[in-house]
Amino acid sequence: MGQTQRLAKAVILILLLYQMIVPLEYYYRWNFGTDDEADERFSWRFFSSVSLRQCDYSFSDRLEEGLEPEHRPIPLQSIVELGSVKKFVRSNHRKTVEKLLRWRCDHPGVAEVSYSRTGMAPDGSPLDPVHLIIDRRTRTIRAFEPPP
Amino acid sequence: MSAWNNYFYGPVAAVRPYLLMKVVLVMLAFDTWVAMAPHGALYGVGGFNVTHFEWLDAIQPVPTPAYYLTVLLLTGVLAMVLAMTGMNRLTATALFLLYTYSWLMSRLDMYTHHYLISLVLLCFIFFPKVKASDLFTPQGRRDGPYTSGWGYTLLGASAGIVLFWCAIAKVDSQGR
Repeated sequence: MGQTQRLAKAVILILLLYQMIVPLEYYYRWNFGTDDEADERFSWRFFSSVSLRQCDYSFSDRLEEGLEPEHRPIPLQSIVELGSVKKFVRSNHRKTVEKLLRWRCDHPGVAEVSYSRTGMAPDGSPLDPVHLIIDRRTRTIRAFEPPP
Repeated sequence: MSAWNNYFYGPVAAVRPYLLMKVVLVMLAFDTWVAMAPHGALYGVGGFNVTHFEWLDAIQPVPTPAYYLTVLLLTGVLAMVLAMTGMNRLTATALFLLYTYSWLMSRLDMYTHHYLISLVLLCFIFFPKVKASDLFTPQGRRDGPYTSGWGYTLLGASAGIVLFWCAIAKVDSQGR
C-alpha cells in the first residue's frame, strides 16, 4: 500500500469515526444529566422529545436608579427573539443563556438580570423549573428561588 | 481486493459524481443568496453574538450584517464559479471552510441541514476529478466510462451514518 493510499485510509477512518462519535456526545449529556442536556446540535435528532417540549421563558433586568431614558439599553426581548436564539433560550441551552445574562449584565446601567424557564415534556409531565440570576457586583450566575 | 478497497476504490459511473457536484454547487449558490442572505439583518444586533463553539467566540469579531453577507456572497460566487468551471482540492477546501464558517459564526443559524451540506462539501474535497469530456462512452462500448474516488463513496457512508443516528433518535417514544 502506497503512502497516498495509507493517508487516504487514515482520513476516511477519522471522518467516519468523527461522524459516529459526535452524536454520542448528546446521548452522554442526556444520560448523565449535565447542564446542556437539551443541546441537540450535531446529533441528527429531528422532531425529538426535546424539541416538542412546551416551554415558557422570561428575562427581566433591573436597571440602576436614576438612569436617563436615553442611556437605557435596548429591550432584552428584542435580542432573545432573534433567529434560532429563542429556541436555545426556550430549551434552556445553558451556554447560550449564560452568554446572554453576562452580555446584558455588562451593559452600562444594568444592575441585575434574571432568567426563568418552566415547561412540560410531550407526555405532559412538568420539567424542572430553571431560575438563574446575575448581578453586576459579583458577576456570578447563580440559581435563585422566585417568590411564591 | 479487500471489502475496504472494493467499496472505497471500486468503479463508479463517472457521470454520478460529476452531476452530483454540479447540482449541489448550483443549489448551494442560490441557497446562500436567496435563503440565507435575508437573515443577515439579525447579525450583531445590540452587539450580541454566540457562536457554535466557544473557541470561535474568542477569535472572531461580533458578526455584522455586512460581515455575514460578505461571507455568504463569496461562498455563493465561489460555488457558482466552481460549478461552471470544475474544482480542485484547494478550491473545494476554500468552499468548505467558507460555507461552514457562514453558519458556524452564530447560533442565530442552527439549521441542521447546513451541517449536512458542510459534510457533503467535505467529501467534495476528495471527489474524483471528472470533466464533461470524460463522460462520453467510447465507440463500441455499451456502458459509460467509470471513475474511482473514495470521496464519492465516503459521501455514501456518511449518509448511512446520518440515517443511522436519525433512526436512533426515533427510538424515543415521546418524539414524533
